[in-house]
Amino acid sequence: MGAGTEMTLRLSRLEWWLAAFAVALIVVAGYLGVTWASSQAEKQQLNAQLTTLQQALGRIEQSMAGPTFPTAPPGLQLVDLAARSAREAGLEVVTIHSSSVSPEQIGRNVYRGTRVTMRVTGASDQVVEFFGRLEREAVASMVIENMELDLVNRRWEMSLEIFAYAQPS
Amino acid sequence: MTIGLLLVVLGCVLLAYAAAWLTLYSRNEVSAKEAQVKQGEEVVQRAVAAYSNSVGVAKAAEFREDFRLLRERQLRWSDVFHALLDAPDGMAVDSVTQAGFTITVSGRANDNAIATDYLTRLQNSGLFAQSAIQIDRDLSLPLIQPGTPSPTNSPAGLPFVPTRSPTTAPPVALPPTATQPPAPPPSPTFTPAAPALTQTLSPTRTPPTTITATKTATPTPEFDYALVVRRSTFIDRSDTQASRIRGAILDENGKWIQGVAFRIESEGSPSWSAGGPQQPDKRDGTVEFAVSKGSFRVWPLVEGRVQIATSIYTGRNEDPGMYEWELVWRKTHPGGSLASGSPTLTPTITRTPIPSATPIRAGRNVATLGSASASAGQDSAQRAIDGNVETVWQSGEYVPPPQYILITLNDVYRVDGIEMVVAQAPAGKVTHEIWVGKDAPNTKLVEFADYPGQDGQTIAYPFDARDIKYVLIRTTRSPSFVAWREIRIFEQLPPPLSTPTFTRTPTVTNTATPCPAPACTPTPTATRTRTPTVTQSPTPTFTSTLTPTITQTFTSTRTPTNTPTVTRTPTFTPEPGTLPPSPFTGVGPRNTPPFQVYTCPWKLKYQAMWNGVFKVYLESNSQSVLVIDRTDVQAGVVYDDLRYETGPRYFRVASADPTREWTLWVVEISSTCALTPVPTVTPTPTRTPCPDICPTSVQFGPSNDSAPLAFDLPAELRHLTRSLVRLVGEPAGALAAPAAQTPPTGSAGGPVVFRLVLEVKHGRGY
Repeated sequence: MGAGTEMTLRLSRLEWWLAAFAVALIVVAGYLGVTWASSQAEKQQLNAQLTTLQQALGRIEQSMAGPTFPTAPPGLQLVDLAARSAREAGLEVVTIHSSSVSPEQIGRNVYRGTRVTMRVTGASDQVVEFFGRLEREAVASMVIENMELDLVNRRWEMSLEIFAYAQPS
Repeated sequence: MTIGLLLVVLGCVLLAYAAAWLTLYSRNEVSAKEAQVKQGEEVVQRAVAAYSNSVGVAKAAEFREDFRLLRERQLRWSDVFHALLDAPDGMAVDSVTQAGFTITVSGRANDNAIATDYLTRLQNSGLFAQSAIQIDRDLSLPLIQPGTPSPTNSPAGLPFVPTRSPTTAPPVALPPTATQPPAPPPSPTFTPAAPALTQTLSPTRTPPTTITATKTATPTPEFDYALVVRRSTFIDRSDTQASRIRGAILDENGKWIQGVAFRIESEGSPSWSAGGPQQPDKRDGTVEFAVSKGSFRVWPLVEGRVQIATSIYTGRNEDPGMYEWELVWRKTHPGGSLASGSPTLTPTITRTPIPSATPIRAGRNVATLGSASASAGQDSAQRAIDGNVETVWQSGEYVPPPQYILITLNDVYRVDGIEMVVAQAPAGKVTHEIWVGKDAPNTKLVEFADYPGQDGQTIAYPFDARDIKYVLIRTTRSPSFVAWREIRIFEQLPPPLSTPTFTRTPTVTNTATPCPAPACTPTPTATRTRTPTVTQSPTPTFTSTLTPTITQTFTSTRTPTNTPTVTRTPTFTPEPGTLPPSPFTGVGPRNTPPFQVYTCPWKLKYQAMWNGVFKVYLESNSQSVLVIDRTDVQAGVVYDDLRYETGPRYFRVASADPTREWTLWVVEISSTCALTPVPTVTPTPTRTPCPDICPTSVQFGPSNDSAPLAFDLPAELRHLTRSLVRLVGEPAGALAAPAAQTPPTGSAGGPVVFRLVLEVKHGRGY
């Protein structure tokens, strides 16, 4: 093993094949690694696109879902709410009547409306409770108008109208 | 060596496997993301399409803005009524009414302090933006005992049971309080009574009068309900954006008509409208609208020709303070009957389905010149415009509303009124819409919503003249099939060159002519040689086929009797008309009530209480003439001017100091119109055809507080108004303090009635 001694690596045929296979596997793994990296970049790009889409959709939904008039009049829901609120508050319902009213202008548009006209009697705390119940379970576009309260035989006789509006058909 | 290589190969295999797995996993992830992105894109596209196609971006924004306005009306009434109905000891609330943001509370208290304390407590509740109180002493009221049972704390669902026996606290009898309808004005200001005559009357007996009803035309009032009070009050408050417009309506006797709904619309943009309460204020029929700054038009929803109150200007957003308005309409004549003192005329009436209080308009009915078509019942459509109320168009019994009839005129006409004679069985509430247009019926003129319809009734709608060729009447609600007996469309009359007059045979004898001296010089048993037959030019045709409403221009409140009388010799005979019920007074820009001026030149005087610009227009529906144009008006100086305009008019003060008063009044008719009558004796006494207000030498001076004004509010309402004006906006302390020092009525203690007007702060939604 002196100077000038040549080292010869003698590989058997099997060993040659094993070495070549290992090199091939390394090349394949390298290729796959590059492909993976590319996919990761593409994935990030898609994520960004998806985020943008989600934001756009959110904005649209937000603009469409803002507080606005319902698309359909409440119908019986309103009269049911009025009657139930009066009953649960202890008021005596003398008359209650529901009807659709001619479209009414609110702001810049004309909206369909439903009106509940009712007449009730009871004590003042019952009146207050009645309004409280109405407000808690109110239909979104509901307003209470034209109230009249008269003290008759120490009971309040109250007439009022409850309107609810919906978008134009 | 071989083993080492095997290990290396094994490692490379593992590495390759891992790389392959990662790559495949990433591929899958990317595929999934791509699918998500694609799906997201589709969703966004659909959302955008739906957003654009359904209501549109701008429309959706409008809806949201409108909804914001609606939410302002969503008030916390539970809090409001909790505050209102929780009355302290010694006080009772009798009634509460609400219209819009305004609440009126009527009640009584043992003394002034309790009532003002109640107001103070309400003000401190933070629920109300403004408040005002009127307190009147009423010693006839019994004291309210502390602890008087109040209608509270009833078990839910059970009838109210007083918490204290009536024997310990007897029920308080409801007194005549401010809730009672105010008495009508002591004397109708609409037709001021002529001054009493002081001349000695001739004892000459005159034979009975033969009344000859040779009437050819009857000038009818322009409106069935004329706007007689139009008063604005400037509220100098910078912290409020809400004003009030109050409306009330009187019958021909000056009594309040209750139960009338009102309509209000904004003028300009944004358009807004609302209806008055179904049940107006019970006390005096007044309906109140809480409005923002802007310009509005208001009218009562009554059958007949109603004068619309236009240009109700409450203020500009840029300017501090607001104007509040009082509007009062008055029925101008009893429906279908002659005015007092009129001869009995027998007009030819073709048919009167139901006597309507609606006179026919003066213009020509051009509907008969057109053609009619309908949504159903086309065969009979023409019957609605054939001039015969006996013939009917009907949509058919099995064709429910909505139905319409379209009338196409043969040309474009300037139209100022539409009348419809109802065919309906059974009677009931209906909703009619009138659409008009020049090229198509594309403009909704008016809607009569929930109108109580009955067969034979006449629905009339006057409006500012406009060019119209198409009229579509659409019925959207009716208990009956849709039908009309007649539809009339009235062409606007051209401005008359002379006021309509009629041939008049001396008919009525009265004890005294309503002309005061010195204009009418009494001449015993004299009559005019001049036959007051004036041919009008042009001749308005008053073709009344439906309503026998014949109202004389020469109305008099006196009862004609065949007694010895004096026929006065007029110094002139003016053409029919009325002098403006001047003086008109006001503050700032405003309109005066309408009036009719003569063909003769008439003198206008005016006075302004400031130095500066004063511009006044004399307007009718179609004309506007600048009659006062002074840039150098001096405070307190009376100016005069001779005018020649005729016809129904009103003054519009366009430029005036918004804080100081002006006065306009018409003092005389020009002497150029004077006749030179030659009195001769005649067996037939003749009444000088003086109009409602005698034409000559009726001196109207500037107004003062003590003198009642023509077209003024009844005293009760005026008092209330002044009280409100005085108290509105005063803080609680400031309100209570002056009340304690110089209370209007209740200073000495004792029971009081009060009326509280509150404006609720805007809501923010439920």
